[in-house]
Amino acid sequence: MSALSLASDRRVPGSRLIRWLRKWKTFSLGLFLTVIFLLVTLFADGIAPYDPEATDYTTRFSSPSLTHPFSTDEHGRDILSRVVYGGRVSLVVGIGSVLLASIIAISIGLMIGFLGGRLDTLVSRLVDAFFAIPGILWAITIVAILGPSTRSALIAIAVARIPVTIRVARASIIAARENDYVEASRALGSSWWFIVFRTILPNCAGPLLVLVSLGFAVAILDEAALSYLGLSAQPPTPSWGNMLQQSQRYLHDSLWYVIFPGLTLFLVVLGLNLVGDGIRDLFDPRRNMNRPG
Amino acid sequence: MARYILHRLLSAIPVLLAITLLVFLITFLIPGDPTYTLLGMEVTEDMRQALRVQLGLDQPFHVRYGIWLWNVFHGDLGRSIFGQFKVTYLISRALPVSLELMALSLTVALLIAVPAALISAVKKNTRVDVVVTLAAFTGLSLPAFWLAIMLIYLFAVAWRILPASGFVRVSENLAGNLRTMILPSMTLGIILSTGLMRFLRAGILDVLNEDYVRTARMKGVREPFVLLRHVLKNALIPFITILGLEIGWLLGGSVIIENVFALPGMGRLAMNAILQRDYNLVQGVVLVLAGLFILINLAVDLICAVLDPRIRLGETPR
Repeated sequence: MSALSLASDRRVPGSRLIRWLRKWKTFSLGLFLTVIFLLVTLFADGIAPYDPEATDYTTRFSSPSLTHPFSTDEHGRDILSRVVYGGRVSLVVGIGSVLLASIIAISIGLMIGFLGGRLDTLVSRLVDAFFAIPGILWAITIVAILGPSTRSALIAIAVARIPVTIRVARASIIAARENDYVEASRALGSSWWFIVFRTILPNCAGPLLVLVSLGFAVAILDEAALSYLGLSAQPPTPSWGNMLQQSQRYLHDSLWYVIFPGLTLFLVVLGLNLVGDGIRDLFDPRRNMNRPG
Repeated sequence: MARYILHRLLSAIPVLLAITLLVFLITFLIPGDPTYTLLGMEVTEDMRQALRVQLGLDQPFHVRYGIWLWNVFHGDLGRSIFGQFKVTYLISRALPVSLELMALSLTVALLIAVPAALISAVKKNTRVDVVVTLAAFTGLSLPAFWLAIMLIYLFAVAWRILPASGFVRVSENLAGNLRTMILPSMTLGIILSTGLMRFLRAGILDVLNEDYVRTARMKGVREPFVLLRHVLKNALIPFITILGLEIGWLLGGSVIIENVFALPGMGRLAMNAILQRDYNLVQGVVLVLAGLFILINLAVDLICAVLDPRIRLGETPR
């Protein structure tokens, strides 16, 4: 007998701790990071030590210090303050695009999933086609149409997110509509609108909630990428992406300039992903990749 | 098998047609009049109109779509509105760059993901497994362009062993070409590997509990052989399906990474074309990228059918 089959049963020192860490620590860590992000962004005015757009050419590229904990950029602006205010762009675009995409896509997905037939085939084929084109190209196109701004980025990311949301919504309604209570509601003479939104929607809320919660992380990453390409918030308004774009030009002058905005972005996305993963485990424990045994 | 292939090929046709429609719609949605960029502000409306007629911009939507589609079927994607270059020429210059980037990234990703997933699944719940799992989760949240800039800092600024950006064609200098491709493909490869690792680890764990694995071990088959021949091979089928989808991510990721490293690939070509409202070029590039995605997924389905007879028997229509 090899050691392999034993490995899964063997209690390694600390494995109980690991399991506990996985079950609770990751979700709490995610929640902690998310709450910090929300609080700091909402109370940016009170937290940021300086005006994020105030320049001071006597302190260009200073090292991290008590006066400038995150150091300063090429115009001597305080990077901590810019990171704090940059969170606003991420928060607005993150929440706005996910809500916009969810409302549109879930309505469409539920409708075609419920009605079926030719309309369903047509929309599903269009979604397939949509899928074949990278989301970033859709986003760039939308920004080209609307002109680069935070608002355009919000709409662009929402549009790029619609196909995947339609797919999930359609799949979950198709799974849910075969239930007896749907038949019962129909027998009672309910309109299809009532059946979809009052009978079926609450019963396929799980997968949709998971999709929406994981969507925030994706949307914030996408916003940063668009900002980096110069297609979202325009300078001097700080966003994590446009700060990173600038920092790449000054790599020889300051490493801190790259580290702080990027690390913040990473931690916020990590937090949102951990929360989303926790919600997924809640609704579907089988899909937990750390399943025991 | 032939029937299955035929069925899959035929079902790809409506999707491809829908893609051409979407691609054509994109250019209708982009506002702005290319005659302004071409002729400037100081010309008469008559000259503008003449150019529109020459470019076919005065025709209604369905006529333009029809003509364009007819030309596409004949391998003619038109000319770039700006450089007077043929769109097919520009794509033939850019596509190899992107394909090389994707192939190298995929290689890096597999070199990391397969051994890591195997070790992690076999040594389940040990410290190694925890480290791999954490790394996989971290990668999911890592912004690709940030990782890229950090790698540039390490390799180009601090150690000065690789170029920070730019591109050398294979035909000019193979070693130079590889030097410019290392950092971009490392960036995409590392991030891609973390996604693949999660799936492969879960797949291997599923297979490890199968009866045939226990049977093989009881027969006295040696462990490395069990892992490669019985476990990995069977875990590969769901993995290849995921791989097809992840290549879609790679197409999108390479758009950003090509911009970070100034690589003259399809992503950069697409972005510049969209921003400059170069209609023909946008249509051509997006069409080729989407076609590539469809082809890759078709290939993935066929590979799965070859590997697993159940798929081609189960899904054959009637």
